Amino acid sequence: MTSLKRRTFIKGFGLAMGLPLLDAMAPATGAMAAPAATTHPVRMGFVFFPNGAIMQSWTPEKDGVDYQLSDTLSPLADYKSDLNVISGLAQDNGRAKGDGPGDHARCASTFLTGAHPYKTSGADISVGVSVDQAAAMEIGGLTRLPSLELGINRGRNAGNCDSGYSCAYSSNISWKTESTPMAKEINPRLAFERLFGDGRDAEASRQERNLYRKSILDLVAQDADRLRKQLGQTDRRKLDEYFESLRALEMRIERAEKAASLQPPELNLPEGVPQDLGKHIRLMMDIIVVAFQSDATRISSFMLGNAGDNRPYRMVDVNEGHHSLSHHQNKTEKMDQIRRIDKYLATHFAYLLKKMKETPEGEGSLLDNSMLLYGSGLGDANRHDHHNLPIVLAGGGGGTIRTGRHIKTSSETPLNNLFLSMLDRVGANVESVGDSKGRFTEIDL
Amino acid sequence: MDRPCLLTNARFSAGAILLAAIALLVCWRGISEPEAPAQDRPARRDSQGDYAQAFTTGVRPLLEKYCFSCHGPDEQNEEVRVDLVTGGITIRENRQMWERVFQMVKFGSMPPEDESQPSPEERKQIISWLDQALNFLDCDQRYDPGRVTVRRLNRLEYHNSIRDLFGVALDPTKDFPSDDVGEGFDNIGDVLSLPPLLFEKYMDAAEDVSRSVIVAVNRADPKKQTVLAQQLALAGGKLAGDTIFMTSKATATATFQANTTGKYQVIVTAGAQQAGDEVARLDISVDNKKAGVLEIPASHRKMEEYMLEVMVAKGEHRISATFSNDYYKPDDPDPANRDRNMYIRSLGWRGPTRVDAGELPPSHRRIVTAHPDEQLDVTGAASQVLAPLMRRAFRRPVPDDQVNQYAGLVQFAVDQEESYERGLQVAISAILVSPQFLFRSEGGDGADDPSRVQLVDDLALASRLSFFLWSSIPDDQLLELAERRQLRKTGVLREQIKRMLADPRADSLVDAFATQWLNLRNLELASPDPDLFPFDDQLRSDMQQETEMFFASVMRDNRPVTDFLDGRFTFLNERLARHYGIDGVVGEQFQRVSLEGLPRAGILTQASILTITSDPTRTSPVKRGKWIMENILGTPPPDPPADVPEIETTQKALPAASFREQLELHRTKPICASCHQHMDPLGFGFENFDAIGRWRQVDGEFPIDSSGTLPGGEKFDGPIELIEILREREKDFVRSFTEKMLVFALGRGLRYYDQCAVEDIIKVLPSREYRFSAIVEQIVLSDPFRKRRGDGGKE
Repeated sequence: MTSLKRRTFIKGFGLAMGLPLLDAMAPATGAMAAPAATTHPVRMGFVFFPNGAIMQSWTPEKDGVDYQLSDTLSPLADYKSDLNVISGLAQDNGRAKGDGPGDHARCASTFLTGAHPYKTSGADISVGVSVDQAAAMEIGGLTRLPSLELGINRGRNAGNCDSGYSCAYSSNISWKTESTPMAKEINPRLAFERLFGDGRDAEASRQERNLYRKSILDLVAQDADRLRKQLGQTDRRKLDEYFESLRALEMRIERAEKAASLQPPELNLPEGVPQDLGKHIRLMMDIIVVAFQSDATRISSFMLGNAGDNRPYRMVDVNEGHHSLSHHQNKTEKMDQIRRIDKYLATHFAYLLKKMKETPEGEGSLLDNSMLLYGSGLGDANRHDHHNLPIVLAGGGGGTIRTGRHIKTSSETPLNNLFLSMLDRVGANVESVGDSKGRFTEIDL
Repeated sequence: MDRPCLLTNARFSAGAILLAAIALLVCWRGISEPEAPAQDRPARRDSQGDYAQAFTTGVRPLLEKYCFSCHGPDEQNEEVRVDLVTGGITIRENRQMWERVFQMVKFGSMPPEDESQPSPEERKQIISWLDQALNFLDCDQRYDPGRVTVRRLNRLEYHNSIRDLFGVALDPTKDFPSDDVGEGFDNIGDVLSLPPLLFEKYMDAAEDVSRSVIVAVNRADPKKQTVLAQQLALAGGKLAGDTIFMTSKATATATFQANTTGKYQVIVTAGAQQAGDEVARLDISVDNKKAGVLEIPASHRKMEEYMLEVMVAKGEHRISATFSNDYYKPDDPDPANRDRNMYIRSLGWRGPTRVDAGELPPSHRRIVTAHPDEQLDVTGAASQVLAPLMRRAFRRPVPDDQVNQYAGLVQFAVDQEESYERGLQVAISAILVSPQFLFRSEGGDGADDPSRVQLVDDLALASRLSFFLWSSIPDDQLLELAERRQLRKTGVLREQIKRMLADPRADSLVDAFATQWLNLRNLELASPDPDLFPFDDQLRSDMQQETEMFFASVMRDNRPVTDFLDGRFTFLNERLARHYGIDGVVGEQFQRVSLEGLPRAGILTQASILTITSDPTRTSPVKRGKWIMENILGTPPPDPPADVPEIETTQKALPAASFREQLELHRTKPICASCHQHMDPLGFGFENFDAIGRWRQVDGEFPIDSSGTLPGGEKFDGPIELIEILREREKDFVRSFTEKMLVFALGRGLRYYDQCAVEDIIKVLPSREYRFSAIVEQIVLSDPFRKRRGDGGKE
């Protein structure tokens, strides 16, 4: 589906230049499409943490409504009625399938794609379109920014990342096409300015800049067209990436011209990247909240760490690296440290929920109109499990999700089934995504 | 505890078959026989006859016995079928599948554990035959030079290209997302993608750069920006309603943006209560430097605007107004002459208003060489300005019609009643987001014909050279030689390499190549436990600098690259020398220090390398050994088996054992031992260095034992003896170094067919004493560097 779309898109490129694609990009209203029922759009956010979790301490004992949050998830207690803990989901394509080691690279690259990454350290990188980008393709045109990709660390910049996998697989969860990862922004201020402008430009100079940007883009698109004709097939794909990104910028300009000038929300942001991890994470979450609140975008993904991240968490007395510890060999002392990391990160997800819940929207809150998925592409990292993943889905999805439960699903249910159900709710009409085999109806009302 | 069998990051890919094959041989040799001498690399000559025979009588029966049931006529699990093969040719026709089979069998991942397993000898027989079948090359034939995917400039290349295009020191890439790494480097065409975020950053950077290098009065900019009293930052004084009231020395500050370098007006709306002989004054400062003085004669009851022109560079500036001549004489007989006070309502900013020729930055004067006048219209003048710039930015002569298109942007701006210079800024922004700037395409005919092998044209060669040695665009000399088609001549190439290595721009080999080859960039992420180790950012940067200077000195002095192994010198400042326990180094400056008689030599004993191969709380002999195998010997250990055996029993059984003893017990499993017997001793040899590279004799209560025996039987005691053994394997090191540098130079991973090129490069090196420049030269002269073939077909 994706490649077909891209081809037709490129083919019609010369003509499409300058024409608003907004209508064509608008979602067809599906049966589940929540926006019909409420005036507030449904948003979807994904928060990824690396290295799995200690599942014994993550998974609540009982299922159904009458359950107790586990110790790891206890920071979410205030929002227990706003979320579902979902146990037993799998990302089958994270398994080796004959490709040998590299579970961490596969952990990140399959998390939102449900596709099997081609094992390569260079040529022919390929995995699949991620759920957030599948949504952006359908509904991204309705907002200033189709989707927002955030992270804490840059990609690793030397050596090997994981057992013969290019680092692209470890440092990205969002994939625009099967071969184009969506680079993430790690600087809170820049992420904010991307959404709302830097507030320094006068309106007049912004208009002036956009006028010239459009003519610049027109011109370089011709350059690219000319260049593309001289290239071989692999190279042409690289030029296609250029075209798509160029077009994305053009559409941003068009939307900015149409939309009323947006007053940037008040947010106190430092110039650079905060040293303090907790502060950094919370600022990024603040940005997700204001982005959703102002409808600057409806889709976000956020990596709390790259796959196989090995940072220590000294604030909770963990001095060894996260990844090293995650191979805990069932040693209590190592598992205890991982538990502290798991809980620490859950505290920050709770912060996001708090902010969303405190933001009123319509009769309820922003959280009621959102779906926030928190989890990892590994279950027990010691065994490199790609099933029984730690997953929490918070938010009411615009009144379409029955919350307050621990849902135990039969093992091997694809995580992408849940994604497909989430796509329905944001109004993205998609029949399947990655390895989805159906919808995850357990969350339905 | 290290788990000797689980190593993440181990290098392997189909694209690195060659390296992995060598690694494999090392490990397998380790099991059954002593290390073969280095020159006994896998034999690359064979007769197809013997080899077909070996298949029919030896290998096929084994495949039949162990594989056919799941990958044969009846079942084709994973779409793999191995029964149709008749010999090497049929295997090479289906290379991708067979490389996977090769990996699976080699790693012991196939057959699956619950199926019957071949004996080690049988497995070896299958593997060595497959290795031959897949990787045999006849280097006497013309061989495949490979194909490089069009490369996007990475961050460093973009940065350097801007520097060299405009001769300015800017940092346009600081907000770019990181470039993904593949094959160990961040300049791999296949891996470098261009997502929307990056394209936006390119657009922003292009506009920032064009506004920095050219000064223009801009139609939109002269609008006044005003910051009212309520928003001004105050030091002293106080806000009363909409006015700041200053009764004594006080300062009001606001931050303004200069979109371009030029003259700006600082506008203050103020009035004063006058007293004494002087008129009330405001000192105006730009970024805390006094820029001028405004006298404020107006009364505070009727404030007025006062203006001071300041010259500023593009960027953000702090503008402050300081009430500087307070006067207070309470006993003055005239009550109206007792107190001088200042009142400020706002600070304003307008500009650029004027750009004096004399104040234009050098970049502006260099670029804007033509102006429209009676004889020359806007497009004509703009074309004159843009043509040379586009030639350098696009690394090739640009046809007039294309230059005219860019000049058309200038005309477009002028049509909007903008200045000519503003139009040039727009055109330069366009140049910097053009794919001709951002991508290194090499053109040529037959782009989709895999059988078409040709020399890259001279201009593409100029770019290959300059991006290899400078991580930047070619300079005029290279472009001129290329345009005259002289660059392809070997003699000319040699001269250019010499010139380029002597140029300061070659420092990029440190920034780009060395820091990645040695994984030095990971030092940024190292986080030794502060309770155990005195480590801070200062030490981190000292460590980094030592290794960078060491590499640079080998390069600049054209030393043999074997100095990386055992050079008995380094570069230290007082802090780092104290860290090492070396006396006699004084001061902040790094200086060359001899290591004669000390237990340190080459890069392996440098704190940077020792730190990045350690865990936060302790050393990791496994990581150190693996690092040496990957980066020094070029024999990365294969990936560990998928299922990690539980090994926690050791510690329970022997709680009193030293770390080393525990680790040695861990590798008693044969499947782990096959590789750990190679990695671990290498790491143990450096156990005298703690996790931040300090010398030590004991680890807690246990004395350090840094002796060991390599699988080939060589014994050593301590780091220097181990380094001497490694030095004896200099051929392995030189091959590994060459391969890494070739990957970096080409921007692609090596394939099996690159083996012949590597052989050709290294066979010349002993006669050139392994000098740094000799390796660079041989790489540049090699086929993969000078030739390309069309895309498509089977790799």
